[in-house]
Amino acid sequence: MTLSEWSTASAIRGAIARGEVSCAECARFFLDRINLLNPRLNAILTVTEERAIAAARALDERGAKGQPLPPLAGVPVVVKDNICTKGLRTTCGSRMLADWLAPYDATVVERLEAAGALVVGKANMDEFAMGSSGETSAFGPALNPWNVRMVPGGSSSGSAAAVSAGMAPLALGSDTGGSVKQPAAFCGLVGLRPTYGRVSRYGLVAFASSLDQVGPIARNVDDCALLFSAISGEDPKDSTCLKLPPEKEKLAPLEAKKLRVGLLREQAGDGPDPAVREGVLRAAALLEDGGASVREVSLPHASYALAAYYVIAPAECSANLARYDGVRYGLSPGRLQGAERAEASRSLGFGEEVKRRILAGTFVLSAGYRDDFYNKAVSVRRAIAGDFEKAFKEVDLLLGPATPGPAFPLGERSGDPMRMYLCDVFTIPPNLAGLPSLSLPCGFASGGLPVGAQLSGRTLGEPLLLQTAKFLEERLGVFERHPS
Amino acid sequence: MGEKLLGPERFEALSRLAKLPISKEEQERLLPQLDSILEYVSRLKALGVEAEAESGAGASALRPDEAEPGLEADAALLASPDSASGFFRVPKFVKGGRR
Repeated sequence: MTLSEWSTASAIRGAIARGEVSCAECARFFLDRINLLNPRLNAILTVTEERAIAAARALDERGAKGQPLPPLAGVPVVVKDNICTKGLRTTCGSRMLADWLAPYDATVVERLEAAGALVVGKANMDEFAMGSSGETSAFGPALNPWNVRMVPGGSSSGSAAAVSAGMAPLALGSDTGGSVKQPAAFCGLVGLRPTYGRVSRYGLVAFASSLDQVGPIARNVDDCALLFSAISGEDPKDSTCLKLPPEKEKLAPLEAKKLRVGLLREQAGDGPDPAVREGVLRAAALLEDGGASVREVSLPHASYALAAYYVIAPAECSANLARYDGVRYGLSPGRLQGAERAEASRSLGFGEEVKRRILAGTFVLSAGYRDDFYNKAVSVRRAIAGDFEKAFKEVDLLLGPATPGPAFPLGERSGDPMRMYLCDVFTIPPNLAGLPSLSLPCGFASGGLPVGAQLSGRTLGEPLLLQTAKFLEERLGVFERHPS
Repeated sequence: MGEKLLGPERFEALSRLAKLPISKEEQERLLPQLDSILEYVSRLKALGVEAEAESGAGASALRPDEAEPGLEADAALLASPDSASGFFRVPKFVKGGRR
């Protein structure tokens, strides 16, 4: 096998296992690709060349001694820059942490490296994962490889842009309100947001802890399943992590005849871009052709999900980001005394989106407003979870759009936060309910930009989501295109 | 639509509570944006759902209360702007408040 920028993780590890390519060759190939494209795309904030090459050589030495190689040996992976990598810059896309070297590895990074994966770069992102376009990064936006005048989505902007541009076959993102699924949709990729608790959050810098999850991004479903399998499973260091073994990496074929699909009535209606609607309806028709039953389903409270999210997430963010006080880490503007040090650190370290959310969170938690906002939002969250529970008595998974439309031009929404937030209107409901969901490419809009469909499932329903996505991947005929 | 939830005064109070000073120039952008966000999320108030316990899938799992090696003090102090003898040096916060 000859390595190509579009080589899949499955193909790479096969070639390495057969000795056709060495881990070091593979690391070099993708590092060169990153160095070639990154000055243009700004997908990677730190190229982790030394670490990747050293790990690759160590693996090759093991192989030369005839020792068995771990399952992901030599497969390059890009890691979002809010996931800690020991001794390497972990900026969260913020001036606050621009020079922060993480003192430990996140559990997901530990697991990937133990499995032989090579961390080749830390990916650009919206600041502290707050944003839907990549534009809130303090280090400039990553660009969409399909059209560099467009945003790649966010907040896992660099992760999606890197995989879409062939800088690596795999990337880790994090998804609070849709930060894996939405950029995956904008960049023509498969992105999985796991069940809350299926993947350890240890070493993921906290934004909204009741929602944050690490999720895999890949160019096809098998690779996504492979990465998910490598990072999932219990972790004593995260008390919200479910006590379950890792997911199996091999997908069983979908038994389409037994599948009951719920098509989300409100979401697949007139609102979205025609290409999104057509893609979703085509996916539904393909499943029906395969023998699945498809019926329309409604989530009565879903129209309140965005409002509930923009109360709960800022509330949790305002508490979580209180830790940035210029004392233990983060931007420290000299030796100011008293509260002035914390205030100067925060005022200079945080960008405007983060400030907006901290202030909004402080507001909804403040005396006199908590009942009307925060408590109400928590009730709505429960009601939405109830809607899903009811729907899953009748169907096995839900199908709808991942986003209302394709990627939008850089700068178009950065001055209008409410309009930006509406990008996440479809990805938020399953997240609030703690359920797994996945976005996969389902077509192309008129400008040639990819659009995505979203599948949501029951708690721990990732295997069915991935099987269904695989079934669709084989039939939609939209996975073969790459950006030029 | 309706009255604004935030005026300049309340905005400044929030900024104090959040220990997040905002410049006048930033405030001119942030205040109307925050107002539009709060106006949007105010739609929740109209909805007749009852408050329930915290949601979130799965209950927290506790591990046995046994000491295990954690982050070394030296590593934890590495990013601090000011430390001494294995401790963070914290600026005085409590006395002599300036407001």
